Amino acid sequence: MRSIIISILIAVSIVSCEKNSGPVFIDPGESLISGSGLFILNEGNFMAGNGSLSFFSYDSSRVINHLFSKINKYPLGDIPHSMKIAGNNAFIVVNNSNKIEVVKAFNLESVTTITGLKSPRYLEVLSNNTGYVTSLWSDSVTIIDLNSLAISGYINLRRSSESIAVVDVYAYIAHWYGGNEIMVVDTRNNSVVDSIPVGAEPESMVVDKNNTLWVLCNGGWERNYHAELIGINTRTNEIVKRFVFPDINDSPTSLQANKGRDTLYYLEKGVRRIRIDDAGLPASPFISENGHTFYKMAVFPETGDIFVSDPVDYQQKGFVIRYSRDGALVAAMEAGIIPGGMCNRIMLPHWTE
Amino acid sequence: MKPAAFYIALLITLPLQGQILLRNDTVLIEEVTISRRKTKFITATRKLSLGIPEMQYYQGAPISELLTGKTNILIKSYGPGGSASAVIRGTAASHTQLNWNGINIGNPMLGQADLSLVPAGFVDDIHIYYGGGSIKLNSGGIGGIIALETKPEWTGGNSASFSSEAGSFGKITGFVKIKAGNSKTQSVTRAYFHSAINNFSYLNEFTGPDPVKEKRAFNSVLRKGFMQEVWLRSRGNIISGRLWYQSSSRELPAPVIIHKTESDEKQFDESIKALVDYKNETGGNIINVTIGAVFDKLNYNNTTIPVDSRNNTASFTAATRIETALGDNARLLVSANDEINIVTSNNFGERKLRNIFTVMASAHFNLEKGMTGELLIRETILDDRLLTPDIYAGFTIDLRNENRNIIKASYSRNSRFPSLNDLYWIPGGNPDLENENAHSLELTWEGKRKLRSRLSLNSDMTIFGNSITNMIKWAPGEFSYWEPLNIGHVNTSGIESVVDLLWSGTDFETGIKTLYTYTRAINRKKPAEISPGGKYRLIYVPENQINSRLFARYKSYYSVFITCFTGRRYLTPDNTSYLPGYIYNDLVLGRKFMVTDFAFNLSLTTGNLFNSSYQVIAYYPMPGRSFNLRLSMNITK
Repeated sequence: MRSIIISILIAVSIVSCEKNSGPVFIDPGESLISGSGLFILNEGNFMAGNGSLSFFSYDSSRVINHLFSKINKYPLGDIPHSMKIAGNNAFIVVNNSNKIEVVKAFNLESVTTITGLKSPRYLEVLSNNTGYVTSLWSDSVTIIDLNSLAISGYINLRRSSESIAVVDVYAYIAHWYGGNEIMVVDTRNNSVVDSIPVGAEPESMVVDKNNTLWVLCNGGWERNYHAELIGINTRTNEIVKRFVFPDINDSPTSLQANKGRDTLYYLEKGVRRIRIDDAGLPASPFISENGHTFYKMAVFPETGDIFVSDPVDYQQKGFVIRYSRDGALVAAMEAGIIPGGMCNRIMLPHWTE
Repeated sequence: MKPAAFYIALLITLPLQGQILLRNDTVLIEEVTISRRKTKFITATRKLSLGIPEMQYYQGAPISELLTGKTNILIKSYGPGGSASAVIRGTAASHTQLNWNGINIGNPMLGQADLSLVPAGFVDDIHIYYGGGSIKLNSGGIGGIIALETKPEWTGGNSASFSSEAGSFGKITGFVKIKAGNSKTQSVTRAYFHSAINNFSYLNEFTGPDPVKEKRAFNSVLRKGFMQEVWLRSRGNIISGRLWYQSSSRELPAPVIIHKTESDEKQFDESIKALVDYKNETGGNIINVTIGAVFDKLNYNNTTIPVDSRNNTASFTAATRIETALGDNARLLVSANDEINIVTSNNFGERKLRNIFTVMASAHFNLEKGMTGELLIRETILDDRLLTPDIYAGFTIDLRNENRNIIKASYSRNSRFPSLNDLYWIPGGNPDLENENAHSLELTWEGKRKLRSRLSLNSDMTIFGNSITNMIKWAPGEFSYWEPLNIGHVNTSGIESVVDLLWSGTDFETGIKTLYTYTRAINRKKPAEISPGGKYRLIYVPENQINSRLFARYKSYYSVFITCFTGRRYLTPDNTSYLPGYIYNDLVLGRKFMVTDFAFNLSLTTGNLFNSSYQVIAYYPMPGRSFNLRLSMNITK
């Protein structure tokens, strides 16, 4: 009896010696990043705080996971959603943690944390060294001074905001959640100058080589409207192309463009490809899902490779699947939980100094 | 025992009196009382009970706090003021049911109960029925049932007790219980109030490179409750009525990794429960009829997202139960239970109604040489669907040796209905969901041993195994929202043991009760094909859990030292992250004393004595060292 009690006490003492009180991530992998590649934002589960940052390196053709927490010794936060590299800094927008983690683009060491945001979604960098941050649950876009890395103002859109694209001095901001408009903001004076009605729930946007703004409207989750792909002339702010998806249940996402900006890609039961001059939507996918669940997509401009994330069951580790520019499967690589948004990292020479 | 003996004596003595009148030549003999031992039926179901000794320091605290240190149930708590659910044997919170005097009081929308909303002072006894054996109580939980009981005290006269508590983090609690009546009528009135700011300090290691000491914000809670009970007793009949009002208003703090500058999430719970119960016990037969109604309101408001969720449920229960003796060595129990759930929620679109009708028959019989058998079958009609019957079979052997060793074994096939949220929540609710099914096996050994004249040892050990199929899990559906599906297959197995050592003297008394649980909960569902295979542990189920309670009393002074250890808990289905194990201790020091007719009990509780830093739910810190001063007063006339 005595020996049992002593054994239990020893066991308890050993286990209780763990210093951390919070979550511990099991990942023996390295934390060095090198060369060009692609950051993968693993959203993690809502309110679980298990979002993370991965990096696919063209140097090693491997994915390194949990980079942010390994380098900075604290977790990235709840639902990292998007990332933007501007100059020497990278801005990681952590949606449900209401913050932006600013890190050095070269080695991911923390520079600062911008707090006081409300459900941030995307950051877009303007020419005057300021940034606009869109918000899911706020009526305003937040202006960030990229020199001081602090909030410098707000633009009241009177509606929530999602993806953002900049053409010349105008920022085109999509009112996605429950909306059907693109708001046009003059970045010189941060004022709303126009709004363009589009289809239901404009989810993603890209600008092509002709400065046509392509807007992918996914039709809303209730499937009351057909999804649409809309082209807007950014000189006149008029709709010049409108492709309506045939099935009410079509719910396309993740509009992307190639380096030449003459070809668009989006997800709809596989990867679809459309040239900007095409007369209609593609009838079949360019890359089939083949048992995967395609969630988000990125196109690496230098190689034309297509990267698609697969969250598997949205609970365990997901995958990032790499396809060549002609749609051939290259590799499926393990990422974090719910791999979502991706951000290209083109190695700059001075980063190696 | 006594009514049975009296009845038998009466049956025998009345005819004798008649004979005296009719036949004077008969030799008169002295009156005799003939009695026999009431046949005892040992059940194979594992059960743990908490009564006054365990509950006396917790009157104003929620039962979740009480159960944390004193049972081997896993309580998943979001911290003080936050919701708390119970997990038994490594299953899910929805597999543990909460029963109040015979009726189910879990929220039918959630399919589970928030234990933080039940004050311990509103309960006289807590019985925990583990595993499939809980099938005997209404619908039965796959993990088990926590049964709350209030009961009359026919002796002891009128009494009133008051207690007030003040503690760290702005905690104030008041509780009153007034008992009045006699041997035929009893009235018990209880009321309580609890408020706390819960602004405890914690070390934030999660939002920046350097740990920062912060105070928990937006974490206040205000709870109020009232309960009135009346019992009427006449010969073998007892009629009782109960009314329980409960409300809770609380802020919902975010996980510490979420930066918040304002209190934007609030929850208001309100509940009215009413119950009328009739029980007739004549000879060996028991007839019991219960009618109950539970009205729950749960309003959740988030000003950021924004969400204004308003949910009202009404549940009506009518139950009858007849228990009769079949000879000396068998008992038959037949029961019927009808429960109607009506839900009005702005998350459901329209009002939803569900009817659950259950009939159950069970036989309990004593065999030769201390052996007992139990067989039970339960049939459920869910709305208009006849479900596969649930069954339970138990077998016990009383070895009848000096140390009173009993061995128990049981098997059950049990099921659980989807919650109404699973069925109707918009978006995602899936009305085509099937029931979850479970097969459970358990083997228990119980022993009671008198080590010395004043030293006794009670201990038991159970080995259990469950296989749960068709388990409901929310997963991403075809569109951009999640929906519940019958996709889970979980196996849980483990060992539960209790060692209770007691040394009892005149002035001095001491004892230690230790509960150890080993749980191996494995997700058997094959991961997606591209995922590496393996046996993954269920999230938030620790492999090892130890709770120990050491107490000592010298004359009027007493102390209790509680130790709780919970092992590593995985956080993701692929087990790539975990919460480390933790250990904390509570210390209670107190004294009972009399001033004229008033009995006082003064105690100081130090929670988390060694200021351990830990989390039960990831990123929800638990408080460090805290103090709670409690004074209670009792008068009996």
